[in-house]
Amino acid sequence: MEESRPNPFPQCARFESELEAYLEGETRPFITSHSRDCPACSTLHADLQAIRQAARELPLEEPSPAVWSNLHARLEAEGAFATAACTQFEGALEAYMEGEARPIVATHARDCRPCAALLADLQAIRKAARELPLEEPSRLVWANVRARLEAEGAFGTPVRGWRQILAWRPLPHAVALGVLATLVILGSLLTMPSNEMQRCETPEAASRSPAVAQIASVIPAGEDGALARVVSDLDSSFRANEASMAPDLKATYEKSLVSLDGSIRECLDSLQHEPRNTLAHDYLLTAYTRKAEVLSSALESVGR
Amino acid sequence: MNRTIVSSKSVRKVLLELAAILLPAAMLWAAGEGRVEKTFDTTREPRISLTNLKGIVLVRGWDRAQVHVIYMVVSPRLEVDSEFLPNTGPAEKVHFDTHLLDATIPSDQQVADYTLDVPAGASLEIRNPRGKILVQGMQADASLQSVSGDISIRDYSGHLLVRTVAGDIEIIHPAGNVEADSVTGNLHFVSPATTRLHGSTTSGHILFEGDLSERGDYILSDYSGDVDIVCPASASYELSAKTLKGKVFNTMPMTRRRESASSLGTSNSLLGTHNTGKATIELTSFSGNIRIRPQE
Repeated sequence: MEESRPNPFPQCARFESELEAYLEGETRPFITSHSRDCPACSTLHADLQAIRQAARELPLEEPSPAVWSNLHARLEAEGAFATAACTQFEGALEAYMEGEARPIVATHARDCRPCAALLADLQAIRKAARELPLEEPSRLVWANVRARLEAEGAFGTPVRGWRQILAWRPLPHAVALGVLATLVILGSLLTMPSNEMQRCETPEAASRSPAVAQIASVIPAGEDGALARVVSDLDSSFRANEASMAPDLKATYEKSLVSLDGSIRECLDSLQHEPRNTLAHDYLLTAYTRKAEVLSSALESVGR
Repeated sequence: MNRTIVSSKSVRKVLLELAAILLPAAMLWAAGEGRVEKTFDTTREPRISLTNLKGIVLVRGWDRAQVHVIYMVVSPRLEVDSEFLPNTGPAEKVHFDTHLLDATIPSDQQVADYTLDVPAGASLEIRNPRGKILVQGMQADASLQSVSGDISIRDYSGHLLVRTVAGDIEIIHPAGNVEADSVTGNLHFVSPATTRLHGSTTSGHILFEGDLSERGDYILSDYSGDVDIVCPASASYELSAKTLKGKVFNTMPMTRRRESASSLGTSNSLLGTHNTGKATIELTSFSGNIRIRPQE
């Protein structure tokens, strides 16, 4: 197996270090920004997304009964199944780990290999945990904790401390995350040759939603339809929530959206006259992406 | 009739009592009750995050392992929470958070102004949707975001990620990588010593003033705004400037080259080398003009 070596490019090293958290749903703006700039990392990013998607689509396969019986026999031979002593050991383990005297734990661990392994693992975890730096959970974690506590009626009075972060409304946040995830997928899709793209997103499919149909009718068939749909969905969410936005903030967002809509229209006009104009196409994609980002940012600020 | 008189008197009495209670409170507030000043120990490279609603956020780097903060809230119905982690010893993470105690508070009272002196090695994450962000003399990574406020950064050597929706962005003497994006705001870069600078706006104006680093990579993109590059005659760069509907104006001596299969004419596209071409400049606009001229 190849030994991992430190990446000589600091930006790419940072990309690698943040990628896992990003794929697990954390907000990591650096991942998308770096992917735009670095072809190698962009490819890695797209590959991982494709693998994840493919893994989700795999059918669930049940191993044959022979596999299970072999596995059971092997585990039994290794003493993996608990005996009465093992049950006693498990019962005393928690107190032992908390520092209470439980001689059964040490005694049984000397005789039983699986229980000894479990004890060793727990001790190693405890030691490693003590040495870990203090890490703040991501905002997503706080938001989920907050939402859960709120649902359980834990907050009777105004909450202080981290309130601004914790007060993120689940819906806009979910929408924002959804958009980012969709943009990532779209980023991968848009790098495909257009014939492959059309297999994934036909104009007919794109026109299922009325909002998309409206946009899709004026844009070139193919990849842009998917991006237009994301923007259209976000736009609908924004319109549904704009009443609860601070008026001055809303006015700023509106002004920016007008500007972006103008650029989208202008790019579409250019592409109608010159369908192979790559600069106009790049600008169109940039305008859609930026509009999605602005709408996403606006939805995050709803109710603040 | 009597009843009405009695009622009016009662109301007046209540109002007077209220005034007697509220007036001293208001005077105390006006005398600086909303101002808080704190100093606390941190590591040399703490992570500092700040979430504000409206107002000015000023952050200055200094050589002490301490954070000194002064904040002032305009209304008593606005509160600042501060968190320091770990709970004992020098803080590794510091967070300030402005929030409303009353959702009905008028927009003009949602203001909190901050002044922070922080270790120069601190990384920053600042969100101030409706206010200015001013940062100077820092060395680590920073993410600075506003919606309508301007962002101004001076003497920053870390990686900068700066975003606004409508605010202007001004970055003076950056030495680390810079990524600056806006939708309707202007971008202004002054004397960057950075080797990688990406700036993008939809309808703002982009102005780049100063010399270019050797092997520097400068990518500036606008949609409808103009792009201006003003650099010394001694600067050395490869240039690619393209605008679909605007024009390219260049007054720097260039060795031109032609791009194969380009649909753009010579007035809206320019590819070439100035001096020995040590840096790379890529300028694009959709309908704005691009101008490249020497510093006077």
